[in-house]
Amino acid sequence: MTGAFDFAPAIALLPLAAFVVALFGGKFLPKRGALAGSTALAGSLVLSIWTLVTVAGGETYNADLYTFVAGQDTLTLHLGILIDPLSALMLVIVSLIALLVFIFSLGYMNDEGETGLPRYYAELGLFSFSMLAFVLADNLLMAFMFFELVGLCSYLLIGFWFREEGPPSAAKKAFLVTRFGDYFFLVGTVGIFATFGTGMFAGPESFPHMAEQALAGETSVTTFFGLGEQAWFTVLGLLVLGGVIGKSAQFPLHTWLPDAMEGPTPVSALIHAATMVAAGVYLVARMYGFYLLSPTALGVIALVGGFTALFAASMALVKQELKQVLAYSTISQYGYMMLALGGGGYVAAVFHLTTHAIFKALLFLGAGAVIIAMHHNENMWDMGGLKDKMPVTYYAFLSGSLALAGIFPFAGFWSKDEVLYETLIHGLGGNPLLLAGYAMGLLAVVFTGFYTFRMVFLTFHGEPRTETAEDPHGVRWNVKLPLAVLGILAAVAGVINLAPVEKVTGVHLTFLHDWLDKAPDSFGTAVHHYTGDHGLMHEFAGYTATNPLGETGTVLAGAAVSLGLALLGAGLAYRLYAVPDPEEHTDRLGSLKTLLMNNYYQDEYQVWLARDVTLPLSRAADTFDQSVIDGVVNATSSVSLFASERVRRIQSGIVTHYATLLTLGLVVILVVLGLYGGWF
Amino acid sequence: MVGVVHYLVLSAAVFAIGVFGVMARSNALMFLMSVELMLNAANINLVAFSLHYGNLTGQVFALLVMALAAAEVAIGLGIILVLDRNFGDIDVTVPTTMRR
Amino acid sequence: MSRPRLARDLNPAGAVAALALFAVLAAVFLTATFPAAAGFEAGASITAGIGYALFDMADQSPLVTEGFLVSFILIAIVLDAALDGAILLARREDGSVLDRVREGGDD
Repeated sequence: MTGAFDFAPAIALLPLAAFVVALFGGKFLPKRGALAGSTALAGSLVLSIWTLVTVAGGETYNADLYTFVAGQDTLTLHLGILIDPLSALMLVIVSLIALLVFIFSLGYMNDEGETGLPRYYAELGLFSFSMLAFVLADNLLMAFMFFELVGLCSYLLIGFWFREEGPPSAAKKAFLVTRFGDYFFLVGTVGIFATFGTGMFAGPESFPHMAEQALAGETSVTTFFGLGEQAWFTVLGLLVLGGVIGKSAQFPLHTWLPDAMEGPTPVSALIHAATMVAAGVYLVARMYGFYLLSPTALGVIALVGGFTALFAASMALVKQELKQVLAYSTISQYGYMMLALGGGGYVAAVFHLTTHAIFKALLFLGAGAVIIAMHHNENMWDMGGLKDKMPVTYYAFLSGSLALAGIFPFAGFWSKDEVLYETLIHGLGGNPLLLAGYAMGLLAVVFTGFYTFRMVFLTFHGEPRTETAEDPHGVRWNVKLPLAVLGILAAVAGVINLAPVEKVTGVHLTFLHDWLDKAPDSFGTAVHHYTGDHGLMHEFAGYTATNPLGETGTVLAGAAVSLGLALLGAGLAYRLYAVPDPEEHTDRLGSLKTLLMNNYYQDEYQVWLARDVTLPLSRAADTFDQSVIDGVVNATSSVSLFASERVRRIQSGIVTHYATLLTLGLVVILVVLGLYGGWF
Repeated sequence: MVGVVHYLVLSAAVFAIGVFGVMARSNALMFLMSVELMLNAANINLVAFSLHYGNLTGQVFALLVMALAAAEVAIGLGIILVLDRNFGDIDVTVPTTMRR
Repeated sequence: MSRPRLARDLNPAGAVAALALFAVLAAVFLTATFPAAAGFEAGASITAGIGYALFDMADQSPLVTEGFLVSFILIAIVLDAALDGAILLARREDGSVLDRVREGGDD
């Protein structure tokens, strides 16, 4: 009987078929391509779950599909599929959220009478195809190709309403900023191929395995620029990290994500919350065996992540639009995941990735429902009192907010707590950088609690502040169904890895840890290979875990601290904003608020870099090109023209001149012949 | 004793004078006279070698050259007549229509 | 008619070329070695030898003079051709050859 793996390509190809159908036949279909997309993604979800079940039975898959460059004695470029526990989990997440977004779009786009829908559903289908193919990728070049394709779809979808001013500009900004990071990713990919001769992620011939062997002295690989192997692997890791920072919107390439909110809200939910920005973190997790070999790269990842978490959370404190708060929240939460990866918490990072995908998509879809209700007015200060009029949306949104803030027992509490715990124990084991990241993450917990509940209270509580809020537009089942599904998941998804409960009670509850450990040893992607007692983290990264209060004690203390800080932030928001007529308390921050509202002037800084640094450099290069390089070419031709103009004057038409020239020539020939022939 | 070298140097001198005349004279008749000089220098050379080697071939050749020089002058004068007809002047630096 | 004057406006390139040619030729001739001179027999008359050859009595003379006969024939032909050529070049379109008399004459 054919196994799930034979159908694995179909997981990605079904949405591609939906793309084609929507593109060419969308205008003939009743829902303009939504049903084609929904059925395709339902099919992908079924196949992903079947694959998940098969992997749960212990099977994995790593095969080439199509070789497009078969090298002789050199590298081979191919497209292939890698299915191991991590990718199977990610497939289910992506296809589930994509399916719910397609259903939600029926309510957000079709029911609101938007135009251009075949294009919308076609682009969503293309995005789903490229994201699923990215997850399935078994080598770095294929991952890069689909990474770029995902960026293209993001550009198309952000700029969906291109006839207005904001969206095309935001789309260009997103594309350019991520492209800037992807340039470094490409250089890193080429470097990895040049060093190892392969880009495979898993298996005995994969580049993490070869790098590990090279550092252990068993094989040798070519390094460049005279760097040693350890230093060169760090360089490669940091180069690939450039693409990750761009795609996952970490500092300093985070500026595109808030502007990407110009796109339709289902797009924000799918792409800019749950899947595309997850691609960067997923890539690091996929290559974790390579990153663990370089403590410097891990330190950089942790520091960038921790800083971004705090930095973005501070900016979310003062925003007035609903989707802007959620955008900065996304940046901040991905900072947590990067902090976890840098801090050696592989399972924690994947756990947070899963729960974040669920609750952030939920929050965005909830925001979409609110936006439909408020006739596309996003300003929270125009809302208020919506909880009585939109109960399903309210409770789903509340569930998502509790998860985001990290309140027990919602999903976000368990995952965020584990992120912070892993960073703390590895930091106490002798890594001050990780402790700095931990401190920043902890402070961001306060901010997260505050801005999340400020958002909830301003939107749903109090008295309605405008007429639209008093009489909101209703939403139908196609909006409420995804909200309900995700709301329930946000509440219960924490059960997949209840590490603190396990440590306290001794009952085995860390299912995610076991799941990720299921990869066979030949793949090299299992958790024990990464972070186990003899794993790469211990041998190469030098991380050791130190539990100052004993394992149980540290876990409980850490959980208590983070829960306490989250409740502190939430409580402060409750006091300030859960009143019938809240005021803008953040004005009391004064000039600090101006700084935060202007996003620390990062956008202006990047424009300055482009206009006042890069443009003059490129003008200088252009001048050099035109005057020196073109000048040499032009000079060659003008020398030839000038010389010929002068030489032409010998032909005067006067016979005696010709006779003179003849005689002179004869003399020269006689002298030459005489010297050679020995006449003299 | 006058050896063949003296005749050869004489013929070289006469030839050089003829070459100078071809290059420097602007009158077409003087040009032709210089050409005659060059031919006669060659004749001196031929006869000198005929005497040196005792072979009459040189003298036969010199006789032929003289006759050919005469024929050439006849044709040359005809060309000078045509030149005068077309350009109005027998200065050889005037006709420049064969240049670029 | 003015007397001839020394030309002072000449291009020196011609003089240089002619002098250089003379120098090269003289250098070659002066440094060349020739075999011993072998002249003609004393008292041998070339003109008598030509006459003997003309009458098919070549063995009467010690000189080899048949070559002159060939050159005489060739000279005759060539001079005849040159004469015809000169007349052709001198002829004008209306068929006349001689110059017309000019009024005044030029000086």
